[in-house]
Amino acid sequence: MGGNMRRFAILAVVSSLVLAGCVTPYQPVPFDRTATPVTKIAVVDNTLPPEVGTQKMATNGENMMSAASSAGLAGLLVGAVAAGIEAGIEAGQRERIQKALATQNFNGEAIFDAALEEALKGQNYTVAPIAIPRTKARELVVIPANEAAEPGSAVLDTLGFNYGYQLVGNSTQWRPFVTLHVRMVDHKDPKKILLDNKITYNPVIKSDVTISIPVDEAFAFQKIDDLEADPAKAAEGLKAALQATAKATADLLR
Amino acid sequence: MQKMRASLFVLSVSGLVSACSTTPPPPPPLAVSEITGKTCTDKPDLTKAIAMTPKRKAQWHSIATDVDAMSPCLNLEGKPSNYVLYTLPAAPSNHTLTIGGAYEVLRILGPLVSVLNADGQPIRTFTADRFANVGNTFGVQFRPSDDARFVLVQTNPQSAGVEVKAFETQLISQTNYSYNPYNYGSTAYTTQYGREGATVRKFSHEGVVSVTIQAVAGKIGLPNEK
Repeated sequence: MGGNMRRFAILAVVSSLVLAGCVTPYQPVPFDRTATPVTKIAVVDNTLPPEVGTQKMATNGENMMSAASSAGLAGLLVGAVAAGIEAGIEAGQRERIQKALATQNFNGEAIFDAALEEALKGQNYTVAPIAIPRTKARELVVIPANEAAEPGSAVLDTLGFNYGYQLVGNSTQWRPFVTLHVRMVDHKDPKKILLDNKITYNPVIKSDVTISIPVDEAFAFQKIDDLEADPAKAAEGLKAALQATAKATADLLR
Repeated sequence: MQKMRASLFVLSVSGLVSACSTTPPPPPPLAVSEITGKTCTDKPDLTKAIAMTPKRKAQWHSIATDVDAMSPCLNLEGKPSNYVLYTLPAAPSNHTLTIGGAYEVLRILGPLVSVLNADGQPIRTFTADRFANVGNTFGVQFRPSDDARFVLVQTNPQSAGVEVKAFETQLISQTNYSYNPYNYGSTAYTTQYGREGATVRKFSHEGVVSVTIQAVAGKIGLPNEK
């Protein structure tokens, strides 16, 4: 119990450090369906990184957090930076996880797209895909204005920073994670941002004003060997993570 | 002799350790699933509202309000519900609000949120499916309209006592100090370790209401401020 309290205090310090590290705190844009009656959503294609990723944090005593804050990144991106730091050790493990998932014909993009479409349709939106090239990886696409767009049309970009399996610390297990930046703009006037938020599945830090989803505890692997021994379970865990993230995205559009 | 010196050393070390030890903190508060012995009103007291505008000009402001046995309550469909009322800053639509019940060790204040006009009449309410985990808050995120004056947060009698289970992963950062003999100073360095575990909390009538106010342009209540 005392440990829990202390954990809270330390977490508070961490998030304040992260806040202090970035100049302008993240400003979300909540969607208001009553004030902005959107009926038609064009969903940007190819939103997830092409390959399943991994991230390892605090497994070798490296100073991840200060590296991340000196890079000017908020809590959400700590993972991405941390992944870079441990890249050498991690590359082999990532390849093994990718191979294990490939035996299951795992297609993260297809799973996410299907779940998002279903959830949006469930909220009475008309959904269609739209192909806009992503010129820079890990950046939102530049949406061109469409003069011909009907009123109530919007474009939704669900940019996946990273997804896959992560290990936080030496005495923890490999578990699925997803980090996503969602933005919806008016199709006729893309300068009008209708929604902007960040969603993390299995966050290591609950960043202020962004959405987090706790991990499904059933999908965990002590070692990469265990994951390789049960690739079906590994695929199922990541599928559950992507589906939960897609649903959370749609929930922001209620 | 050697042994005695060793045991003396052990003694003095344990003396040092005990000198530093403090009394353990009190156990974290438990969820309150029922409100008893309170007389509630039908309408919130608009004169007791807490200002969302900070004393100092700011772009970002957070408020944590304790809700306890002394907090006022409302009759909600025949059931008591504790409440906190906040006054919105000037130019309400220039703000993003994140508002709800804060996560504590064993409980979360189970929130209902509504936006009131100057007469205290509700002009917007949020259904249960609009609530999400936002930062360390179970709540809603929205920009109020310009005819809004107050935000009412009240506890939900339907959810009070309901368990919330979550498996949480945490990256914990610790600051340590090392003595540097070259400049007689100490150097701070940070280490991280990861932790994970199952948590069980309950929605509660008592706890903490967490409010984060962000100005879209300018400062809170001052949209034209640089």
